Amino acid sequence: MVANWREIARVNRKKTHYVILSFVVIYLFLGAFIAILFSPYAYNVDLWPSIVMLESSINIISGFMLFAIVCVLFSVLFGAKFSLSGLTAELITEGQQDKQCRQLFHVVEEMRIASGMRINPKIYVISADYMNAFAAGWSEKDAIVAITRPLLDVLSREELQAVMAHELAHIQHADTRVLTVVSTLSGLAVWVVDCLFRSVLYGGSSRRRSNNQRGGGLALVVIIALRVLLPIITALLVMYVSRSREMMADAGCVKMTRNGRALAQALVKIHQSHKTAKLNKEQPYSSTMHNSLRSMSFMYSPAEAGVGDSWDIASWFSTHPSLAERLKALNAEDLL
Amino acid sequence: MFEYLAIFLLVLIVYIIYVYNRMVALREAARNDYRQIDIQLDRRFKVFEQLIGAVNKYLDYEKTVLKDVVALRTQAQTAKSTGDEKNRMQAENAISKIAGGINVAFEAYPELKSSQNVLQFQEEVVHTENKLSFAKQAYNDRSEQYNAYVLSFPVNLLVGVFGEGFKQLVYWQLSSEESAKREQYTAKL
Repeated sequence: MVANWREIARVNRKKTHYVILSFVVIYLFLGAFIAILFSPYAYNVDLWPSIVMLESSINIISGFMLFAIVCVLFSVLFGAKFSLSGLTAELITEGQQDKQCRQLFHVVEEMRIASGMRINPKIYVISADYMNAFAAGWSEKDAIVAITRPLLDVLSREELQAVMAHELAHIQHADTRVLTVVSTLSGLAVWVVDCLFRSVLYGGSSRRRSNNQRGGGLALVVIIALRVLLPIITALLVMYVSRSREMMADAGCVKMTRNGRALAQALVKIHQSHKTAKLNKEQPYSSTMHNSLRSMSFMYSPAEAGVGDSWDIASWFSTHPSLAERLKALNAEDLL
Repeated sequence: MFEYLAIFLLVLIVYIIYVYNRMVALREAARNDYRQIDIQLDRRFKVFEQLIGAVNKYLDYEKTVLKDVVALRTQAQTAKSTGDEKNRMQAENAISKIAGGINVAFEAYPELKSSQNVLQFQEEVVHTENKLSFAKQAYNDRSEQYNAYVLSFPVNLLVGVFGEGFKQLVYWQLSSEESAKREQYTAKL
């Protein structure tokens, strides 16, 4: 059943609040843990609860929270730009000379009208050696859609329309908003834990001393546990936010184009290209940087074809439904 | 007893306000989509005028077409000003048919078909028609939401009280004769 997009967007916004709340809790613990590590009494585990209550610790915790808030604000303001970082992207505007770019612009405009949105998103064509597309941005106003050049090259007009409709549906459903918050907060948390890990390993004299104590040992255990658990927790949060968000976007696409077949064909084309890359032992995603930033927003998860970094713990949890499931929903199982 | 009556009345009033506001919101959303169709129709006329004018010197076919398009557009405009929605839709739909015809006409000229200008021209025609039909689709979807709400019970009882402002919206569609023609259509080979 295709739900109303307003309803989907409302549910997504509510889920965003829950996700933010869980991150507040995670960050409180993380902040408290940092405060403990920086205190001279860190070696004594029994003192940990009382260290947290110290004024200096509370300052550290609130400073840490403030830092996180600033980071989130930055990604809200510049999230769309961040999502293009490490990529060679060309902005497509009206009246392009290149035939395909002109068509791309046309198609996005058509889908924007079909979706009932008021503002055209910015459109980017990315130079890369893999086929994929994604959307980013906080609101309709600063939203972007991006497609890689190889994908643009192989799609027919109708398939291109379907792919762009899928991305616009993500914007309309507020999926891009959720992902902005989740990816910023989880990325930051993992980065902080990484820093702590290094500082404990190679840290200054005060911490090397505490390493030998009981508290230092426990601190290391906690850090390693966090290092492993945080990506998993984040992945679970993303799955909670919307395990079905790809399905919903597919449904939104069909609502706009009234043509499920074209989307199915496009998905199959993308899938085939990844399969071929896997067979030829290519590393398509290694040529562009910061892919982990986008992995959740890609239209097609490279993991589906077994492409990508298998050491990335987050990729063990599928944030995308399988291709078979998606084709089944589109009534196009015969294409596989 | 009086308290119950008061509570009942209060709930009723709140409900009526809710229904009224929801109807207004749905109707205005649909009307906004309707204006989008107007914008696209306007745009299409300008684009076609230019495009057909540009290829006029190459194709005999287009000479009469431009006249047809202009005539149909005038017919649509007069119908719009008199509020005759049906006539207007018929005239605009006739232009859509011509648009399809133009692309077909190119098939007869292989040397033209492959030229870069014509490819661009075809893309422009497809784009223009798509924009229009997606605008119609968006409007029809929104009208459906509104119409279904206005017709549902017990909202329909209140619509009579609120009066003329909340009549059903007309879907943008082919006339029944025209859709019958399309149903019987067979490709001539």
